Amino acid sequence: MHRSKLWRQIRPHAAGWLCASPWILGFLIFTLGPMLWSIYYSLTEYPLIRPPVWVGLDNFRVMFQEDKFFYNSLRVTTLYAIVAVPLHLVTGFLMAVMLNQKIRYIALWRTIYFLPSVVSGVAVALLWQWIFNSDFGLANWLLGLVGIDGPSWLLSPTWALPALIIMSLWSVGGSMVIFIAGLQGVPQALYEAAEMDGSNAVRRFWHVTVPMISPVILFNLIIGLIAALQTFTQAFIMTAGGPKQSTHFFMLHLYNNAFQWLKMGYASALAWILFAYILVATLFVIRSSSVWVFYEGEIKGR
Amino acid sequence: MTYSLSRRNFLRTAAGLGAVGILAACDMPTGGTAEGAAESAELSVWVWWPSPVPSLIEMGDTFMEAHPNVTVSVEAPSDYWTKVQTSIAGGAGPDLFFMNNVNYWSWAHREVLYDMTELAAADDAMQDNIANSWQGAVDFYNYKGRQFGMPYMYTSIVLYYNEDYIDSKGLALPADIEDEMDWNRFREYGLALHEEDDDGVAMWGLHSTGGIETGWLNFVRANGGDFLNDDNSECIIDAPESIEAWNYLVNLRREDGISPSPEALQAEGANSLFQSGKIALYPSGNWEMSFLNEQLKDFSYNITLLPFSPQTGERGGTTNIVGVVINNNTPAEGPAWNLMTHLLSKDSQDKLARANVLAPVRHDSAELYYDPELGPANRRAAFEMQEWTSALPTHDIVTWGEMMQPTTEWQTEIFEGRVSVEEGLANMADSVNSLF
Repeated sequence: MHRSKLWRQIRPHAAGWLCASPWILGFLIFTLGPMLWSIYYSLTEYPLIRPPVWVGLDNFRVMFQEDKFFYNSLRVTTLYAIVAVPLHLVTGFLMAVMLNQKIRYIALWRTIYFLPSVVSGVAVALLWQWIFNSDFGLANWLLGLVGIDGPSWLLSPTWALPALIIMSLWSVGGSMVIFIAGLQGVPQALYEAAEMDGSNAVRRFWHVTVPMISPVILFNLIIGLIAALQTFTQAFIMTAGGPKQSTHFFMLHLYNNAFQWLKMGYASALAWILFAYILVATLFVIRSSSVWVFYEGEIKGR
Repeated sequence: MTYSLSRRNFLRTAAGLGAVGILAACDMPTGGTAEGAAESAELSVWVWWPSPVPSLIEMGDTFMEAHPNVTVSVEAPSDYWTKVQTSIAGGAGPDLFFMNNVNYWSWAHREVLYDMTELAAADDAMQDNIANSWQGAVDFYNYKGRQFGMPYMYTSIVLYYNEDYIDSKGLALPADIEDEMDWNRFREYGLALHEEDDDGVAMWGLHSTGGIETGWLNFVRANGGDFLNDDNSECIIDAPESIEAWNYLVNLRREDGISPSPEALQAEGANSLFQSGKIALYPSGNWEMSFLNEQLKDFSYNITLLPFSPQTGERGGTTNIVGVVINNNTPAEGPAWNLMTHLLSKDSQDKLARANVLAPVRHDSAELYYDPELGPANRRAAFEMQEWTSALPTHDIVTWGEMMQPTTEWQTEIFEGRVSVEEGLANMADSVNSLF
């Protein structure tokens, strides 16, 4: 009796669960399962081609006390995220504002600006290698037009990271599209009311547009932050972490340990530290959002 | 009409489908046992670059004719080393795969390779192969008295030059004056051949900033130095002989300006610069010969011995001895061993020589590879370099990748002039030694 009641409860949802099961199984087998295994591996010495040997927390001790590359890779990754993410947000937002105007061929313009973000990472990396060539690259040619002798970019320990940050703007189209969607969701009535109250365009932008799309800014900030802290392809293809470790990102260090140096156990420990770092950074952003993100209908202070 | 599914049936079906899925995901053994070598098996062979694949397929075909119950597949998967590692970690992987000497010891040390010591000792055909092979390569693949793999082919580093251009400058061809070509003469040639015009450098005189394999270690060894000491327990790259060799190479770029700048190399690799007729003298590996023979149309090239050190009167060289190993996980040890023996036979090594990939490890087949008919005319220089050649540095505990991380980093710092040779090499040695 009890069983048939349970089945009656399940039955309306069975088809849904069945349809979702490929994804659920895929997630369990190929994402969650390996993640849980990697907790175990992080506590072992595991050269991948041999069975793991239990070492307890030694990988973490080595990481914090002996690994010469660990702190530098954390520093490089953090620095990149701190500069690239806000730059990405501001550029994406401004482009969205521009492309939200009523101008001719707007769909074409949006497509043109969005297009670079769908080009594959490796192709983009190779393209930018040419742009940053100090002898005949586009970057230094443009600087030369205004009388600036451009740096060696990817060959310079000072300029390699800024070069990768500039390059990250290539994929700003993704966040731009989300910003455009957000901007189009701002009620026109708010602008009209502000205008009737005597607000000029700048005030309308700061006091209507920005608060109304602050949830979109939060979304782009979190997505951008997570992506920035996992930067890998550019450094792997363009600089191999150099020069002088100036682009030695955390993910590159992790990859080297896992697949170049036969240290999968240590790489798993690095992966969990990165996971914790991203989690803390994301939680910090989410907690801070109560101060600067405005949700329509929300009444602050209640 | 509706169909109702009972909970029990639903769970049974779900469990059945799950079991089928799990079974389908598993890599089932392909048959064959260790007891007999004549049983049926499906052998897979992996190699990390595509050039040897056609000749390996040919060898596989010959093998299958003699062993009708065995099939052999050959492939060169992308991201080779990652794939080999992960497939072995998953309890599978190829039955036989190719190994380079910089990884061999660390893999042998980690006991993932099939120990073929006893099999090799008892197999007359293999003993014949070994007796006819380059002894240095055979010794290298003997790790602490055990045989975890067999050498198959090897590289050598030679000096490539643009014959037409040197001829046009009225200079004697390097192959004709190889006994005179010490480092001083090499530099004189570089200076004489270097050419600049209004657009910049039209021809770089030489290339002096190659990496450990094709570049600086050859010069360091010629000068009496090395990267690791004899028992591989210490990095000695900061020794005076090394410093002298490095200073020589660095000055060719920084003071003489006749070796390509970092910017030029960033835009186009040294091999590409040579192929497009923009470097006159270019040290590199014998693996480039087959490509140049087929693709080079605008000028003729030749090779010669690397220049010798005026201090020691010796040349120096590196080699990467490419070997074949058997996966410890293979379910078909007998057939895998038979295929291994076949790959090292005279017939197979002749096929390898004719394919013009790398020099076969068997002397009697290597003769075919060094035949000047295959081009270039002085092709035999690649064989003669063997006299001054020893294997690239390798270590059993520290992997090649780990050792090369600081090495490449400080190499770049030195060549790009951000640190002095002395400081850079001291840092390189310290960093590498901290790994041991």
